[in-house]
Parts: sequence; structure tokens; C-alpha cells
Amino acid sequence: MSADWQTFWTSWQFDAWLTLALVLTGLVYLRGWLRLRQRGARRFDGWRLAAFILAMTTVGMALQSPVEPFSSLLLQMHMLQHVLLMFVAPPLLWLADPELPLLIGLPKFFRRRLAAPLLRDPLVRWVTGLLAHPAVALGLFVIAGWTWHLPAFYQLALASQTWHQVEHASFFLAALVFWRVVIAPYPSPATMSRWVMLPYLLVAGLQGTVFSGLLTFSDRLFYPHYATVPRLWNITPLDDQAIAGALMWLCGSIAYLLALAWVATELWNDSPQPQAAGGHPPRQAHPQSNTLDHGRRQQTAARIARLRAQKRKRPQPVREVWDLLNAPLVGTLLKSNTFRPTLQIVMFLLAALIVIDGLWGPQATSLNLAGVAPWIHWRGLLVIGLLVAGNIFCMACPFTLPRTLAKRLFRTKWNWPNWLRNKWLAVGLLIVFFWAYEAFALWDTPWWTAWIVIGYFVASFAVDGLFRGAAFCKYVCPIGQFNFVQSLCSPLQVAVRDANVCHTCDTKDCIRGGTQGNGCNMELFQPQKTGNLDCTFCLDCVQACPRENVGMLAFVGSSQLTGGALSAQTGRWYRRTDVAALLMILASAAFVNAAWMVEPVVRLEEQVRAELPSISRPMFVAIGMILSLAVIPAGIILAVAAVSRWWSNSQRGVVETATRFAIVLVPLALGMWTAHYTFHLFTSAGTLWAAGTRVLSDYHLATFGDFALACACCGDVASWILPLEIVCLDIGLCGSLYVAYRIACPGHNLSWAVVKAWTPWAVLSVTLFAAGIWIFFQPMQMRGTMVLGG
Amino acid sequence: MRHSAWQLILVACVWFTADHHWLRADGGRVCWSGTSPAYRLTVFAEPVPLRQGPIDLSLFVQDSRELTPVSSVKATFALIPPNSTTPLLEAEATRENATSPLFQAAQFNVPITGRWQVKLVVTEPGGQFFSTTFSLEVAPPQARFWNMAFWIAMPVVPIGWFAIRQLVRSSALRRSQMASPMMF
Repeated sequence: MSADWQTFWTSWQFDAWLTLALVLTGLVYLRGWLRLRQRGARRFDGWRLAAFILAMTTVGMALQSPVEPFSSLLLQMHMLQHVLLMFVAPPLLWLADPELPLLIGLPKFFRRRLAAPLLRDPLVRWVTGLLAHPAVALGLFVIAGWTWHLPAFYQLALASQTWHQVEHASFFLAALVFWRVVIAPYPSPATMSRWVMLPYLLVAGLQGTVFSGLLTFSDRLFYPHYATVPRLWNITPLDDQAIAGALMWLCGSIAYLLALAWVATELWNDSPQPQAAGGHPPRQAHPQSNTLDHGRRQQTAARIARLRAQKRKRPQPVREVWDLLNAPLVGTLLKSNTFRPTLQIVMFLLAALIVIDGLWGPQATSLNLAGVAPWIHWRGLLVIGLLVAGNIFCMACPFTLPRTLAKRLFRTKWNWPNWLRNKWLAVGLLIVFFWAYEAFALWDTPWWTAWIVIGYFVASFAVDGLFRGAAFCKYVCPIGQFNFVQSLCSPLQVAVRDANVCHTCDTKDCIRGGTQGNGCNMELFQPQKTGNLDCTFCLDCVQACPRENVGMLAFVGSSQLTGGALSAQTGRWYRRTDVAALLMILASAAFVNAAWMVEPVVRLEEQVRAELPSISRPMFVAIGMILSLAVIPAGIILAVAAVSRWWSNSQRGVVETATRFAIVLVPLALGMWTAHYTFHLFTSAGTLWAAGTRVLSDYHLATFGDFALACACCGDVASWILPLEIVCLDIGLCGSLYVAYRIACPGHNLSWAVVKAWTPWAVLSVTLFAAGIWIFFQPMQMRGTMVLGG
Repeated sequence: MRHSAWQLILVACVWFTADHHWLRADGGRVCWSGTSPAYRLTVFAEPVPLRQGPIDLSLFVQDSRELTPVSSVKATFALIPPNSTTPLLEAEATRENATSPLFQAAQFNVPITGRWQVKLVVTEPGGQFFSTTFSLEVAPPQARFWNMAFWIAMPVVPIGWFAIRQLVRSSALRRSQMASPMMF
């Protein structure tokens, strides 16, 4: 063998992604093919399996054989690659009738949860129907071929690996669409008469001939790239181009001729068209409904009425959703009586450590546990917990331990005042907290942080010592409100497993309590609960229910947001202005809190304060917070509600519209909080090591000699953090737009009124998204990095 | 348990392949071509155009008489920044760094823009060194926004998909609503 050919044959390359995809696809087909054979489907003979394996091999050969590396140096090699992807692999693939074996070969989970819903989706059905039309398929095939062979696009693909892959993918997909119409694989019925295939293939062949002729006989080089690359085997670029054209002409013509012969044989045999392609016989037209006589119509109507009545009486279906309490190990732990108290004691000890270090430790933020643990690690883990599970922090909250103690000491008999049974107090406390956070730089003051923790314990002890239930959690605690609102997007929800069991329940132990445990301290009645709002994940209801009918069920996050707002029951939280105000404050705080840390905003604050020297910083921050958290957002939301209401001719009032739609902001706000808090967690996680080592060294339990440890957080921001932040906000935007749509359009009947009601909220969401992106692009202050007095 | 196993396999595959794609580079555009006593050498540079940040230089070596591709020749790239005479970056071009087995590639992270000098040193069969120098124009990096444009524009796909889906669904619903009164 000559050196040239030796080089050629040793130039195989290995792409793990492609190989894996091909092998996995082949295995799925093989599994499905074997199952169909077991069921006696004779259609799936050995030839079909061979065709599928050949198709996979051809794709592998085109993209991993020596043809690939030589394709950037020789046009003929590149053309051979295109021929394999357009004229060999796709027909072989469809000859294998791959749709049914691939579907049956998928693992049950993927088949039921992914493939089946996708195939039933109306859009997917519409798109596949459209692509099965010969005009569309031929058009795509011709456009893909001609467009990518235009010199500008071809050169682009040769200069960039990414565009090269896009080119190959579009060739392969267009060819799949084209050949599917010709072969009409089982069980897809042919959409038109097989006679249509004759002009279809002739037109395809004709345009291929024109293109190949241009390449073969032209004395002009179409692709200058091949003039710049090194010459191989002394082939001139023009000769190379002519060979490439001839190759395409020959292979294309053979493929079209074989296909014509295939179709002609079918027509010659006069077999029924769809069946010849493996499809069903054509359906007989339905008798026209207007031919039904009056009596028959009445019978049908009566039957439907009977069925509807039966359906009303029929018990509601049991939710087939995943339940964390049924999971091995974790479920057992969660259901255990000792699990929650253990978590709370651990959190209590950590809180005590933070208080001790905050009060008596060095007031260097990044060396003090109170300076780093609550503001960097706990907040980051809190949002991650909300995203992956639910309100885990409230479950482990150490501030509820004083409540237990207070209730034992005082045996409380008072009820929380009626005029305070809303979220207004919590709204006010949240504004005060965000004000104090900025005005006194709480994150940078371990001493203050320690006193906040102490204040929490005292407030919880006092409120719950005086009043019944969990008044502190429900009406006072700002952290709790944050968790309640953000957990509306969480995937887990404490909910009833089977609604029918609750219908027959007389004891209502989940709220009243019973022999098995206390009822819900938050006064949430499980059968009527629509989301995680006000739920502390304490699992008292799980313990209390004698029929074990409450679980931690998995839901799609948005179902809580839309479900509550769409429910028709009165007195629900989505109609309450106090809840809407809470949602608004937390949404605006997500952006204001992050924005107040970026350089342009800090500079603006300095400029404004220089203009107003008589105003102290706390006063300035107070004005700024009231304006940015309450006044301006309320004005914007009311204005958006007014536009939405006016444009869609809604009968609801402006405030009612605003209250109903306020929940739209929750996903976007959670995206922003997640981006913000995880940014600090991922960039400053090392501070816990520094502060922890310092604490241990204070008690002579470890050596702390290297101050550089404290600066572990000051390194470069990893390149993946900004994309991660943007993705968080992307998901938030999609969630907000979806929730707004579901509230505007409770059914599925899309109308202009729906679009008009939705658009102002969509504009608001996109504006907030843009504001969030702007914040991400600004230089951000780092928390807990001031160890050396910087 | 079976589901977890599937998910693990998928995550592992994605991780493995993503890593695989990050490590290897490929051709690009010819930025220099010339001959040494024994070889014909062609250097490709990627991305096109070259920008400040990660770049890839790939070397294609042929026998100078037969023009047969030659693999695994010892070659080194040294990058000299603008207004300097000493190399700042240096790396050996290896076959492992290249996607195409015909090439030998080396990756660099170019810190500044301007006209860089590239010194290519190739070891000839007799053990002598062949050295040549050529220049590369490195453009300023794209604005940070454009680097992130893909991530920012991501929601367009699900939103567009959902919008079309709702249009199709709602038109089907409207058709069925128009047809249903005729049934009774």
C-alpha cells in the first residue's frame, strides 16, 4: 500500500458524542425490533434490522471515517460526505420502518413521560403533518442543498467547525424529510397518491443535475478555500471540483432512479397506496352529521348527559405523582418523629455559634462566622433548597424551638388579633429589614448580625408565648414570608394524596390534631390547600392524618402559581391585596437588593448624597427603599393592570386585576434571588473555611497561621457563573410569561382579548429581565472580602 | 432506581462529550503556508477572525516531494506579543489536541490584541531544526454582551415553541367547537 493510502486509511477519528448517539439509537431500535418480533410482527424482518444498522454505519462513516479529515482539503471528499448523508443514510433509515421499534425500544420512563406526550402534542403533530407534504419536503431538500452550496455559506462552513456541523445536520434532516415522503415508512400513511412521487423525484433529479453540471463543467473555482489549502495527490482545485460534481451527479442519479423504480413497482403491482407503504387503508368518510335524524340526535344527547352525570358521581382520580415520603431512606427519615427536632437542634447550635462569634469574635467580616455563614452560605443554600425541593429551611428553623418552650411555659390562650391576620405587618417588617440591610451594611457587621439572630429568638418566644398557633411564622417572620413566596415555584408540595379519602374524613385531624399528632399550626386545611404559601413543611399534618393521606408530592412549579389564581373559591390568597403587596415587595427587592451592590448604582447614590448633604445615609436609604420597594413598583403594577384591563375590556377593577396578576412576578424574582445568592455562594464559599479555622484556632483546636486563607474568596469569578446567572433569569422569565398567560387565558381558547390582557404583563416581565441582565453585567461587590481592611 | 441510573448515564455522557469537545480543536483558515527542506507546512488558525482569548493553531505537514500527509512531526509554536521580541506563549503542536488526525494542534489564550509574531519550529528527519516566523492579527474580543447573547436569547426558543403550540391548539379547538353544534 502506498504512503498516501496508508495515511488515508489511518485517518479515522473518534467522536465520543456521535458514537454514543449512534450506538444508543441502534440499541433502542434493536430492543424495539426484538419486542415486535416477540409479539409476532412479521413486518419487522431481518432486512429492516440490517437497513437500520447500515444507516447508522453510513452516518458514522460519513462523519468519522477518513472522509471527514480530508473533506477540508478536498472538495470531492466533502461531496462524498454529503452524498452519504443525503442519498444513502436517510433512505436506508426509512426502509427500516424505525418509528415503531424506536418508540417501543425506549425505556418505559422515557416512552411514557417524554415520547408519548411529545408525540401527542398538537404542535408536533402539526409540524410532522406539514413536513409529510411533498411540496414542503421537496422545498426543504432543494433549499438546504442550494443554500449551503452557495460560495458564501460553503466558505463559512469550511472556516468554522460549528457551522460545518450545522451544515451537515441540515443536510441530513432535510434529506430525512425528503426520503420519508418517498418511502412512507410504516405506520405513517402516505399523504398523497403514489403517482405524485413521479414528478417529485423527477424535479429533485433535475435540480440535482443542474447543480452537478455547474460544478462539473465550470472553469471557475466556486470555493476559494480549496485554492488556499495544501494540494493533495497533485489534484488541482478545478479538477477536484469537477470530480466532486461528477460524484454528486452519479450518486444522486442512482438514488433517484432506484426510488423511481421502487415507486413504479408499487404502482405496477397496483397495491393500495397507503398499505403498500405500510399504512392503514383509507378511512371511509364519516356520514354527514346533518343526516342524523332528530330522534337519533336526541338519543345521543341523552347518552352524553348520562355519561356526564356518571362522571360527576365518579370518584376523583388518585394523583399519580412522585411522593418524597415514599422514597427509600429519605422518606423514612422525614416521617420519623425525631428527624425535625434533630434538624432544629443542629440549626440552633449553629445559630448559637454565630451569635457567640458575632458578639465576642473579631469584627473582621470574612473571619467571623456571623459575617459569612448567614450572608453567603445560608442564603445560597436556602435558594438552592427552594429550587430543588421546597421550604426546607422552615422545616429546620431553630426559631421555632422557643415557641415550643413558650407554649409549655405560658399555656397561651389568646388569639392573634383579627386586624393583624394578614401580611401587612410582614410587608412592613420586610421593608424595615431591607432598609437596615443597606443602611447599616448588616452583611459587613457581625455584631449586628448576632443581635438580629437574638432578636429573632426573642420575638418568636414572645409572640408564640402570648398567642395561639404559629402566629410568628404566619404573620411576622420576614424570612418565612420569603420562603413561603419563593416556594410557590418549588417542585415539592405538602398535599393530599387522594382527594376521595378526605371526602369521607370526619375528624379533620390534619388541622384539628388528633391522637397521632398536632394539627397544622398555620391553620391550613389540607383538602383546600392550593400551594406552598404559609406552609412551613413541618409535616405535622403528615403525622396527624390517621389515613396517611398527606405526602410531599412532586408538582410542576408553575401549577401552584396558576392553580391558585385560577381557582374559583373565595377568600383565597390570590385575591388578597396584602398577599399581592408581599409578592410585589419581594419581587422588587430581588432587583433593588442586587442593584444596590453594583458600581453604577453605588456611584449614583454617592452623587445624589453629595447634592443633599443634610440628609443622613439611613434617611437617604429609607427614602430610596420606600420609593424603590413600594411606591414605584405599586405605581408600575397598577399602571400595567390598568392598561391590561382597558385593552382587554375586562370587567375586573384595576386593583383586582393587579392583585390577580401580581403572582406573575414570582418566577422572575426567584430567578433573580437565585442568581444573586448563588453568585455569592460560588464566589465566596471559601470564607467559611477561613472563619471556621479561625474559630477553632481561638479555642486552640486548630492552627490558623495563614491570613491568605481568608482571601480564598477573592479569586477570579469563574467563567461559568455569568451564564448560570443568566440561565436562572431565563427560566424565571419563561415562568413569568407562562403564569401571566395562564392567568389571562384560563382555558385553551387563545383570543385577541387574551393577548391584550397578557401583553402588558409580558412587557413588564421582559423589562425586569432586561434590568436583571444589566445588573449582571455590572461589576459586583464581593461579600466578606474585607479581611485586610480593603 | 432504574430512572436514577438512566439519569446518571445521561449526565455522564453529556459531561464526557462536552469535555471532549472542549479539549480538541480543528482547522479554521490558512494563515501561513511554506516549505522546509523535508516538508510542506500549512498552518490553520481558528476562530475566524482571530480574537483575543482562546485560539487554536493547527499544523498540516506534507512530504515536500510527494505531497503525502505526514503525521506526528515534532513542532512547536511560540507566540511573540506586539512590540516585543520574546515569546510570551509557547506550546507543542500535538495530534491529540486536534480533532482531525491529519493535523497537529496547539491551543493558546491570547491576552492582548494586535499583530503577534508566531515562531514555528519543526524538527526535520535528520534532527535539524527548521524555523520560520509569520504574523497573526488578533482582533479585540467581542463585547461581553455578544459573548453572552446565546444565553440571553435562550428563552426565545421555548417561548416561540409555546406560542406556535397554543396557536395550533386553539385553532383546533375553535374548529371542533364550530363542528360540534352540528352533531346535535
